[in-house]
Amino acid sequence: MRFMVLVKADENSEAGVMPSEQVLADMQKYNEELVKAGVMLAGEGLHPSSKGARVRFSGDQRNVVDGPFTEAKELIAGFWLWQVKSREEAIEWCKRAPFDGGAELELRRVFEAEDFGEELTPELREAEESLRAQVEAQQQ
Amino acid sequence: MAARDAHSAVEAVWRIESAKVIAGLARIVRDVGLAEELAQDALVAALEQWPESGVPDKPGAWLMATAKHRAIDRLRRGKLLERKQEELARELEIERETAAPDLDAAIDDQVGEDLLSLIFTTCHPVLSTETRVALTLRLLGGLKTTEIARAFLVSEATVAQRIVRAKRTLAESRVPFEVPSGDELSERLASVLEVVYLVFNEGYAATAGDDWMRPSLCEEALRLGRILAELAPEEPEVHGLVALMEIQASRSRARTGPSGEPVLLLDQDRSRWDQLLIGRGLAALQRAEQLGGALGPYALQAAIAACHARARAPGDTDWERIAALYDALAQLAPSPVVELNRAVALGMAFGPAAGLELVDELASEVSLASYHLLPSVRGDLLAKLGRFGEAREELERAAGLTRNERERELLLERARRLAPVVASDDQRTATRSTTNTSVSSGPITPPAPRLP
Repeated sequence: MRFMVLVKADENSEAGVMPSEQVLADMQKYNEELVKAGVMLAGEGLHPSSKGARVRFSGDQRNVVDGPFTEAKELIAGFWLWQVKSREEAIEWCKRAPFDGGAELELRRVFEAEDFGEELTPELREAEESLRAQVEAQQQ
Repeated sequence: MAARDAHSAVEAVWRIESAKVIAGLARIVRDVGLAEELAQDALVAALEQWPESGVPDKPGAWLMATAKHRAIDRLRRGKLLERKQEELARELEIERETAAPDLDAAIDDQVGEDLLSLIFTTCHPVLSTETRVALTLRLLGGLKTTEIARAFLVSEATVAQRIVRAKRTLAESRVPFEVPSGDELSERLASVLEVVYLVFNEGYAATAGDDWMRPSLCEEALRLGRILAELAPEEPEVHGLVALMEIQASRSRARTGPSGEPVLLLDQDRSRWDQLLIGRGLAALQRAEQLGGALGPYALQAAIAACHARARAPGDTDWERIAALYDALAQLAPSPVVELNRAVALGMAFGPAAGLELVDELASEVSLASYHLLPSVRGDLLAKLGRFGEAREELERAAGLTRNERERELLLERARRLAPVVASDDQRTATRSTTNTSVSSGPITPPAPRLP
């Protein structure tokens, strides 16, 4: 299953203050661990909301509101997309993230419509297996 | 903490840490079977203690330290090698002194080396293929015996027996716990990649009604492949296999229709392909190519899959390149099924006559004698050449050979619809337009037979 892990924004991230070298190094290390574990599918950091915008829908109307937006805790500063076996595994990985000072991560499971369907029915598979066996027998 | 929560937390930690713990122990005790038992002991201890004490700050280090203490106990009891005891005691000492976090750079290289040694051991050619698969999923994937049994539709006892036998064989054959080098490396690596791809295909072949453990094998294989790509980044075929699996997995949503019927590649709704996985697959393929040298069988198959992945519509497919890649694959890993795929590609790239020529050469191939896709492909090529009578016979023959009811219906339907209505000067245009109109009524373009 996939989880999206949202890194909540704070005053610093919204002010565009770059993290310290140490924080960046720790984060890089953490990301490497995620990659090495085969967990990381994607991950990005986001610019402050001042560089973003919101589009509101009402009937045919499209209302564009430029950032920044005020409620920092409701904003996100980055995200990961992880492939894990369980929610608990995702939580365990979250706990290892190098954050501090009241930072907050939010995990959300990604919808996956019928992940793996049937292209090879059992019969087809059987046919293919017998062919495989024949080919192997012939090559020996 | 509620016991159930603690239990699932232990499982999650086990999922993340077990392979590293087993690998680290195996390096010292030089016995994969014993290493796993020790790690299991540590797991049992965690299940007993964590509900009371809470999950430790560094659960991986906790498991490792506990397992090492058990190892020392056992070695003492068994009056085994003093050297091993000393080594264990020294490592425990170092860990206390440095208070190494789970993610310490200093131990990273060693962990990587240990993990690689473990995967080369569980995939050792001295073991039968099914045994390699079971042992790898258990020791590297952290899967339980019941999970492996459910995934492979065999009894738990069978899997347990395979694992016991595997450990015994490894011990008796004195398989060294190490990363092979020199000439041995490529052969041993091929064995590892075979196991990973076999796990993937087992999951890929699962059907909608199957236990969820079966399709989840695709995810296990991808995870193993991605881990392997980090452990052995300089091996092009590792990236080739990862690319192949990522791209195949990207189509999983599009492979079945609303009522669970299979949808063939050229008829799939490409908007349902997972662009994230395609992007990862293309990146992995690029890494394989950048490492230089001729592409191996996995990278070639990935390159073929990539041609399809890059085409926004079936008509955009670069069939000439696919044909060239099948040429290369046929030389590297010759097989009748590869030849049949090559014939399909030639037919699409250079017109049906070119494809038919190769298919006719395969007619005498004994191993394809009862393979329904041979007459299916031939019938399709004949139809494109306007030889409808022969085409119908071939499709009916294919229908008689397939054991799949739905496919039989599709083949007979194709045979019935064959009438001399489409006549075009340009065969390739005709091919593409028929392909595009066949979405609702089933495939006219033959399915590319899947590779062995």
